[in-house]
Amino acid sequence: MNFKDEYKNELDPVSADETVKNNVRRALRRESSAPAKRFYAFPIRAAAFSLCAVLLFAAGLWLFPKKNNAPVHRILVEKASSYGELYNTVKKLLPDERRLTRYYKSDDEIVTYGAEAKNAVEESAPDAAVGEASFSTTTKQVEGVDEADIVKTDGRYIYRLRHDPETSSASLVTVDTKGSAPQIISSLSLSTTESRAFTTMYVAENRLILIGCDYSVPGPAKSLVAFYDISDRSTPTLITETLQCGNMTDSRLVGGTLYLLSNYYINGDIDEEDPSTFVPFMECDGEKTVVSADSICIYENCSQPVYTMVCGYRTETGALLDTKSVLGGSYAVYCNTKTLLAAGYELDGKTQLVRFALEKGGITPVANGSIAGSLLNQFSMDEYKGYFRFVTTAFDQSKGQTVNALTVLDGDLKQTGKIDNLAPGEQVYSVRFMGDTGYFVTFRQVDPLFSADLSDPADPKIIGALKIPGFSDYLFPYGEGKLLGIGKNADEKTGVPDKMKLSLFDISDPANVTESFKTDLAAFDSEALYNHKACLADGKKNLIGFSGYYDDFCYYLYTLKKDGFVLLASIPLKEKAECRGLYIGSTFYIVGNEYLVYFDLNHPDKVWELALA
Amino acid sequence: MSNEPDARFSPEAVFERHADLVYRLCFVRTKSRHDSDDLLQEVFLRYMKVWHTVQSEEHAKALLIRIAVNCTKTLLSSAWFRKTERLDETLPAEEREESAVLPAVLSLPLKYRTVIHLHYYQGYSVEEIAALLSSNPSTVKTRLMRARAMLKNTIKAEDL
Repeated sequence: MNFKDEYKNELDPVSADETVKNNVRRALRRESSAPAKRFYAFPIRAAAFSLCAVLLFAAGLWLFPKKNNAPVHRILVEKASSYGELYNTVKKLLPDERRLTRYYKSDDEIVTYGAEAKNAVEESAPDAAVGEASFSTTTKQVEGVDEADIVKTDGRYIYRLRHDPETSSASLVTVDTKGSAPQIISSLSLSTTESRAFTTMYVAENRLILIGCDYSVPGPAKSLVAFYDISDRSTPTLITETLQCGNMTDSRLVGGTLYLLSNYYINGDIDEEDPSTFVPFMECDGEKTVVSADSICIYENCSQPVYTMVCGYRTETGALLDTKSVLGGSYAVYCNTKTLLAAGYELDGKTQLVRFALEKGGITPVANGSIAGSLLNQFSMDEYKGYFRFVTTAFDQSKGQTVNALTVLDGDLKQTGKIDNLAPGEQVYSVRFMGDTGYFVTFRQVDPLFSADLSDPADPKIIGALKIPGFSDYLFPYGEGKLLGIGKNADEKTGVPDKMKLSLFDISDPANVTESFKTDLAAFDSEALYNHKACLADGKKNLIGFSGYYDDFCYYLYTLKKDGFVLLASIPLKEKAECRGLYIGSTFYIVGNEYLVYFDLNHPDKVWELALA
Repeated sequence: MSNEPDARFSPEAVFERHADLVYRLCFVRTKSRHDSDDLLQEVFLRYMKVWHTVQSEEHAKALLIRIAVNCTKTLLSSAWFRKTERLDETLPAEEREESAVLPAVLSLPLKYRTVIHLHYYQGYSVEEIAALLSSNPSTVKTRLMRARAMLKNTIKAEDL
């Protein structure tokens, strides 16, 4: 049977009755007979958004014809002439003053990128505990490398980027938790339209960074980044706002630098007179600055005219420190304090990789390579002692099924070792690399949790495979010799997933991993199954928290005792919105969109609420 | 870019061509004909606010899809505690016995059935779906992979 045809056959008869359709036709006629000015009363930005959706779309449709992946030379040859000539043209078109040397607004800080990078002092990791109370931070992959999220705390204040679903507006709410009860000290309204919105943020000392997207015309989709001074917490003040071309892929905050990655799709309308139509650019105060040609490198066998643009901004000032672009988009990013690895779109079943060295805000491409298959997410990549490890899933055409592999590459991204043909017919569901050992879960009907010995980069070995029903979507280190898994149960015969579960794996002997504890939840689904940041997994404080729903929407808080998982609190939530659980000292806060719910960890039965709207 | 709105893409014209496309997407997301009937009007009224810059058929479709997804999102979150209609009542009577795949798709979680629908019914690629849903391709890819895996357990098809 062909699913696509069958689905179409079954869905085609589903349509609205003629009565319903006639009502709509009447309504449309009624609305459109209003005076002409009505059409133009709506903000230009709405139109802009549509146009950008179109450009993106047109780009998408032009770039991704259903099966054919031609190398970049051929695609651009059809539109202009050879890529080599375009490249030279770009160089010729960039007189010196248009190179990205002078970027920044402030009078006394003219940034020449490279120069600022050399002089920048590498600041300490932002997650040092503030004051005597301990507090939780965004669940992240690498310590010292912060990841963006909708909720942040610095140990006293809680920051929430919230949306008003009725009006589609957004605001940044700051809550002060000191004192007898938490209170809102600032509610900053953010200008949000159909074509411009903030989606995530960072907080680092006295700086708050909002990141989002901008689809205004003219021009392609852009990433928006705004830097705020929050020295006075009750009055966040905008320092500077910048647009970086392309849709945001991901970001990281390392030391005092924000790294923002975007994918800039080149559509068919390239204009030789306007390099910003085929080369990445920045935009500030309406002024566009195109990047210099020598800051661009090209993936080998690049098949699509989409750039991965990596920009480093100084957190303190919002100044652009450095920017590099790679011709070839990226879909996943791994970042530690010294290296940023961008994984590019698949071509011929391979994922391209570019390694950037990060130093004091400077970004330098140092190596590129490729691995077979595709990566599940950022956790599928890791660096340890100079070697890069990956777990991938590929589709084996000859056998008509998926197959998985663990690959080790050296600093130059050349393969040193590989374990092939792992768990054929299954897909990778979660990965966690921990030093010399790697753990990953594949699943079709039953979940093997594999342990791999990675101590010899030339000879990675599978040393264990624990077969248990269900699967884990994320694996978190949870104290000495312990690995926490959050995922779902599944029917052993059919593999159909069921309700959620938590597993605790004893990894003190990686070759003999056991599932020491398990708890089944009533919840069927949770944001924590798709987004690691939605799960609090704090081994030190021994708290596991996430929201989940089945009939009701709840926040679940677990702890691990000698005999297993213990449910500390299950708080019904009024709103089905993305929320985050965090603790400051002995108070636990569940930060939703409309409400902040909080309780004392020693008395979880008494729960309070603060309205955020 | 001309300043005159292109009448081919006026709400009334586009409705005649794409009412069904919108209805089916709403239906797959809400699993309710009743809600889809209401949403049909809302989606086209919202389209009316932004249509005058539409330059191509693909753009019109993309806009409609984005609006439909947003409308259904609002509806689903506000009606969260409302019971959804049982599947039997939503399919045309004559289809019930012969339905092989639609019930399976409708039983998938919302985000999964959305990507399945956009991929298999509308023919969009992972990157196009990511652009439509303001998501990123790796998330969409994961959802599609998992949705296929879930469907494969009850449906035997060569293209899953």
